[in-house]
Amino acid sequence: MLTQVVWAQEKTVRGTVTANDGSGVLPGVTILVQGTTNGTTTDMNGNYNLLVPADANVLTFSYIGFRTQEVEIGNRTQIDVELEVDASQLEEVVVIGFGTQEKKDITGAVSSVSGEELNEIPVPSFEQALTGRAAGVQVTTGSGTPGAGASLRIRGVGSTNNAEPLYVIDGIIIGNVTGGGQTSISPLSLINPNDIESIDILKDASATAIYGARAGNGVVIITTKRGKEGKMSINLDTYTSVNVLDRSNFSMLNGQQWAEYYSSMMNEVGNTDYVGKPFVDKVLSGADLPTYDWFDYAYRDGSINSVNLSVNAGSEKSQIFTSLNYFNQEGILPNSDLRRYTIRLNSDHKFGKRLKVGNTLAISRSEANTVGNVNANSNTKDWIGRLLAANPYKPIFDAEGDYAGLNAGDPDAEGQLDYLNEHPIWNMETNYNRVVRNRIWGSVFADYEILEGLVFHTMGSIDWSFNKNEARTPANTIDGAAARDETTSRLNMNFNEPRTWFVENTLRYQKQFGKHNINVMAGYQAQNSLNTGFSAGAGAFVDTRYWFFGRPQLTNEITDGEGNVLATVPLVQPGVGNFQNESAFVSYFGRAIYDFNDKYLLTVTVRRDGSSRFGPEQRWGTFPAVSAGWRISEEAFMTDIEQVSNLKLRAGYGISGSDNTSLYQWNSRVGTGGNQEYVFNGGPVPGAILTRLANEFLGWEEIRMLNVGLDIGFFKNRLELTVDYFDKTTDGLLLNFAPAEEVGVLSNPSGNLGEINNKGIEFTVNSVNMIQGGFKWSTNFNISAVSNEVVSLPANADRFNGPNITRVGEEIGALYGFQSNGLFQNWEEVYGHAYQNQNVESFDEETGLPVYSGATDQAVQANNTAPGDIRYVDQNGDGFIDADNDRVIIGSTLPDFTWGLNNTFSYKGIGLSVFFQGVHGIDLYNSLRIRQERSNASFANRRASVLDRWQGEGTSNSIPRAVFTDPNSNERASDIWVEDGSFIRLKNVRLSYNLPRTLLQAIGMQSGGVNFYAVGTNLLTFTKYSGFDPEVGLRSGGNPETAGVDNGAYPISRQFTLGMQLSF
Amino acid sequence: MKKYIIILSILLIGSCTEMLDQTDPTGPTGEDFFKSETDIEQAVVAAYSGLSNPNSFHRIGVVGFEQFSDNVYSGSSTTDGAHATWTTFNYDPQSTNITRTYRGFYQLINQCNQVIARAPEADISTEVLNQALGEVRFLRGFGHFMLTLVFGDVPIVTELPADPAGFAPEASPASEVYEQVIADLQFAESNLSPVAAQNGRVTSWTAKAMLAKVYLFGADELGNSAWYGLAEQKATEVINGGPYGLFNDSGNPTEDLISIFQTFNENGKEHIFTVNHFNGGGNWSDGNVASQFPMAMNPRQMRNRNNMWGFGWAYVYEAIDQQWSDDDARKDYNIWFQDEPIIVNGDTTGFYDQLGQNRCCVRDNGMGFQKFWYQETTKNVNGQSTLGFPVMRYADLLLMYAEADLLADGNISQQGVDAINAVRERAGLPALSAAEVTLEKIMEERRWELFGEGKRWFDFVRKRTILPNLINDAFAAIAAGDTDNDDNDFSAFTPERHYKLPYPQSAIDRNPNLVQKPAWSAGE
Repeated sequence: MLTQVVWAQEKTVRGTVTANDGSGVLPGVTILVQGTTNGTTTDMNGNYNLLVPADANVLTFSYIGFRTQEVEIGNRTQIDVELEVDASQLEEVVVIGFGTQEKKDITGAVSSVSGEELNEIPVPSFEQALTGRAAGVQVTTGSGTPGAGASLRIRGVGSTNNAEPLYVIDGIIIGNVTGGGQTSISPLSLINPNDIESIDILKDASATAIYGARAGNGVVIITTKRGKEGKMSINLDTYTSVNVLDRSNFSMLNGQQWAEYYSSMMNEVGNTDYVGKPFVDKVLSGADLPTYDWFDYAYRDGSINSVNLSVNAGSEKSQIFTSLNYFNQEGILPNSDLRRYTIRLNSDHKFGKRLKVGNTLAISRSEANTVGNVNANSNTKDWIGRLLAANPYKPIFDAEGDYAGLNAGDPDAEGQLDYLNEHPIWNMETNYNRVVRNRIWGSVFADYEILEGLVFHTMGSIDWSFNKNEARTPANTIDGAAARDETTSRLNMNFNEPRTWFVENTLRYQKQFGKHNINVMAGYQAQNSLNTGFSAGAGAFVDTRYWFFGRPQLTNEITDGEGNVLATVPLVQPGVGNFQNESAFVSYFGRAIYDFNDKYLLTVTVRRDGSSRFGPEQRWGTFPAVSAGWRISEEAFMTDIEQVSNLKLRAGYGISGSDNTSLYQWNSRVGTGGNQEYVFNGGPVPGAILTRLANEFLGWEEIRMLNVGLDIGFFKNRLELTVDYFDKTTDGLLLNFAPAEEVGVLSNPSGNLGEINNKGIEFTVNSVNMIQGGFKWSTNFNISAVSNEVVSLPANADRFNGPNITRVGEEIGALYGFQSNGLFQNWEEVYGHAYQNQNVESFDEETGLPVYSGATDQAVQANNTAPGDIRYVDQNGDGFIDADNDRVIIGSTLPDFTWGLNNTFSYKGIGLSVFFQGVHGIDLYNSLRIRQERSNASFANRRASVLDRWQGEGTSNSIPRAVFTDPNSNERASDIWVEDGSFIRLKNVRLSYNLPRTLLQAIGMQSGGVNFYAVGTNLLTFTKYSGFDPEVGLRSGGNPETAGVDNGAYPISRQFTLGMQLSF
Repeated sequence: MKKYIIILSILLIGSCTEMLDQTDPTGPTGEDFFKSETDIEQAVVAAYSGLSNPNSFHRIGVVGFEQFSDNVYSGSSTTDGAHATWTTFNYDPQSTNITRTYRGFYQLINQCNQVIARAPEADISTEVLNQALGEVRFLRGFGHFMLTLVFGDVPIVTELPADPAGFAPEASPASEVYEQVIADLQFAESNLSPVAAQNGRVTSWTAKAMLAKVYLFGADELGNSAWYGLAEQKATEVINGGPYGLFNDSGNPTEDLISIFQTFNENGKEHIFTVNHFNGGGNWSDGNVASQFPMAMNPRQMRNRNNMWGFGWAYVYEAIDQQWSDDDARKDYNIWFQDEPIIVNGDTTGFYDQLGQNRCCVRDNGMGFQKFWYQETTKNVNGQSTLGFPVMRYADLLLMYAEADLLADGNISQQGVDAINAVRERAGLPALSAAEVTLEKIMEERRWELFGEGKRWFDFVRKRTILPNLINDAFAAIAAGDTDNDDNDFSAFTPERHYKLPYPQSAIDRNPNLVQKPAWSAGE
């Protein structure tokens, strides 16, 4: 009876909501029956479906940035609405940490990237998709290894330590994650990019100070999606990608060319009886021998498959968002892949009018094989370089079709050079490095509105991981007779279990008193991280098909003088180890935001942090900041200038910090190792002593930053410009330093020494260029320039790292080496130049200068500097080319400026976005090229560029002669190996198509939508750089002092993606 | 209002800051250490380890200084770069040998200072405390003594720097360094037990003997002739009352000599102070327990052959064959000659073949250094040796006694003559009369007795004022005896630069108050 009545009184209204500016359908529009809380929101295709009581008269359609519309229902069941853009309300909301703020009221420097923008590029780890999206944020994806992260630098490199920003995900401080570089599987790759609602990047100290001691390198705030009130929607997004490597930048020699090179290298030194000569002669006499392209054989096209299912459901009281993601990537080299599974559940519930309770929960597991990676600096993992270096005459298979050289008795086929050396493909396939990460990560929070405007917020979270790493090194092949050397086999396993708990309580108060708006917040946070781990290793397995501890190992016999066996011990002693470390943070903070009449804005922030990393005296630090804004456009005198819809001047100054030092550094350390033993009574007696002295003065790196910015909006904000200038100084750099020798400690302590300055300018333009007849074209452009200077260092001493140097007055991690001045073209030039390694008769007794012999015979050509060698500049004019006096800065590893340009076009259901990225004024040290162009004894293949080498006067002025043993040391670090790493890249093109509503209805889909998309990533790269890719990451551990060196990183490839999005 | 108070208190829940007190759970920090008797015992052991750490006596401090003398030279060429420039006085302040020597002794001193600063607060008896302090003050005194011997004026460090970054001591004049050394040794002399609790530890006798040496060397170095008498007095006390003697009871001079450097005799009656080593089986370059000096001094030509490992850092000058009497049993004991049979456990396993080798550094007539080869365990694992380095032997003390006796008043007593003759007698040489015992004769006796033990060079250094021709004649004799003109030459030797080493460049760079010596800073 009652049911009947209800049925009679209700009806369903459906429709589509579109925008009047041609941008198409509007998802997320709130539709309410006027005067009630009965309502829904539109789905991603702008459709809604609402049950309305019969007595309802009016529906209200509201959406941020659009005028709210009221529509009479009448008898209609289909109501399509076009909402009108409201420029004055086009106010984005920005997450500023502990709350949000309307963009117009922001006084600091904050960049925002929406989840939608982020998900245009199919990436395994979200930070990669930030590339070029925000001014002042440099993202470097230095490795194409599946699961590798990217390195983020916000406003330059502020530290010699890990200079990564602080990540805050759903209010939980994750820390300064070293995701980037070529070194590891990024922990950030455990976050499903599809779950991200928005990313807000706090750049200046007035914005970051609320995160205090760890925010000095910027803060990246990630907000995940939450449920919305309205009808349940299910969203399925699936895509498949193919990855293809672009090898066009350089090529290697073919077999014949290689033989010619090798023989000319030997001829140059008059060596007529070298190893392999019969083979080389055979090739040169025209024998047609089989050749092999090892890289080609190892290479495969990579692929990505991703399936993402999410559900959004919500009533007025409760909303949930839940998602399930499967991600599978195969790399372009064997044994490099990543599989990831993530589940998320975010929920919000209201109890009564004042209490809101919610949770966040994410569970993820990733399994990665990283053999094709990982650290290109490590010789044992340098697969790219090793594949390219494999001699073209070196066979891949033996006569039986097995990998050559692995079976005992594999013939040393006549002159098949390098046959006996390693087999890189077999090594890659058998080398096994598996990284498994499991992570459970969740929070529960409650917001209670005590009075109107006064909200108490409390949150507790736990982040708990279990990680496993298993590395198997197979027996190396050493020679044909004993095919494998089992003694080199090794199994290492590591387990660790980090967990962090985190609690936060805040009190917020927001109130308007006439023209005064105040928004104050105070809070408390505590965080504790504990990491425990265990590792074990064993080697010299007898049978390397079975990788288990306890399997038989090769042994050594210990005998006495008579040859009697006293004991049998493993050849490689198994080892175990464990570790534990713990750190904690306690923080108090407060912020007051005040504005008068929406015109004069002021934000004052202070945070007090206590960290367990420092001693009691230095433990607490206070980080204050202040910023102010003036919305000039709100002034009376501006009202006449109609074109200018917004004009705001901002300025801020603040102090934040960085605590990036190892744990327990402030403490002294008692060493008990072999170095503390001494011998009494003929045997070792254990000793113990402080091997590191306490340094109670150790404290934070302090980052002081000034920011001045201007926001301008024209034509009702259809054109928006933002420009920011900053000056950022990092003082008290945490560095290990060598104290005076007289201190006499065994290990160097850490101290706060050194200063770095970054200054820069950032510029952003957002423009809606055209809205006409359903066609919309908009452009986002950002460009930023940063200049970096090391102001001081401990004892102002240079810090060397391979070809990098960190020197006072220069940029951090600059490239350092000899400056070349072409090649010597003839003997006259050789003997007219400062001493490199010319043939010397004697040294002048008075001046100490060398007296050259002037000899030009074969022996001199073979053993000394000769025509065709690189001429280096004698910087101090002392007649000697020496490392102490003649090396100079030869390159900058930091770009002068970077930019991103995104154009989006839409017409009806078709969308196109074209995204370019540019990096300019950066130098790279092409270390891979050194290995491919140098003249050394190895049978390694060379790069085709050596065909253009110096072969007589005037033949080349840049590629030195081929000369065995390289007597001039042409391979030394010099500007010859430095290349311009600037590039412009067509980073992403995305074309999407929404199936028309009518078609959907025809196939019975009353709501929801279907979207197809095709994406091309890294399609074109314009660069002079001769490596695989100019986007070279940081070498080790995110260390900015070792930047810009390309050791043959796992290259980034082109990616072609097809995908479909389905919602209902 | 009540509401606000509740809220405020909620806000501060858990605001306990004790959670910030985190120390490394994997091992003790200095806060937890130096508390118990065990802690102090271990710290004292670790202080001793400063003697055998890779920097000080591991190899450089021994072989290196012998290479400056007229005894041996580095047979290596560019393959052991540091030594090629070292042995010809072509080194500079960047030389790792210099850095290691300086660094090594300040590490020893730091470890002693840790005990001196912290042991008094430990829960131990006065007796234990004084013994511990006695041992480390001996070691600290020895460390400063070596530093002033090698470098001249050096910073005196007697504290633990509270702020390592700001620590920058100035060099003190050598005379003040000697005062500090003597103060430390006197403390050790009066607080140490006369009997070593463990074989290898220093005793009050060690301290007395070291005092004798310090007075003797200090008298030379500082021109303080009153100290000759003090040296004589301390040496007399040791000779008359101490537990020491010579290994001279086999009846065969060569066997007696061979028994000096055998592990089973280590810290025996002749060994007053030895830097002990133990073969831990690790890599020689990182552990400090195993020693490398015997391997470093063995001839390079026979490396890894005939049970002989060698770097060849101690080839014997050609002239020495003429200078050294064949009657002296020590000559054959110390030197490998061409075609000399290599006898291991009674079996001839090969012949010393200098000329037949085709290696980098063959010199005609190049004689190898043999002294430390006899020690059996040097012949096994990776050239590591358990052999201790002899800092002071009783034979050395006897000769220092004779010298102090002579120099104290210009006359030598019969006891002094007996002392030198005891040493000669063991070598199979006839006794000298009092008239024959001149300072030059004592110096020569020291050269042959302590050949290869790193002592000769410091005799040149300390006698540079009172016996300046000692070094000149020595170098001239080597040059004259070099018939084929392929030995090391000493032309680069300059007294102002080379008697005392320059401060290492790293010490200059890190300590703004340490000023390089004029002879090394001018023109740089």
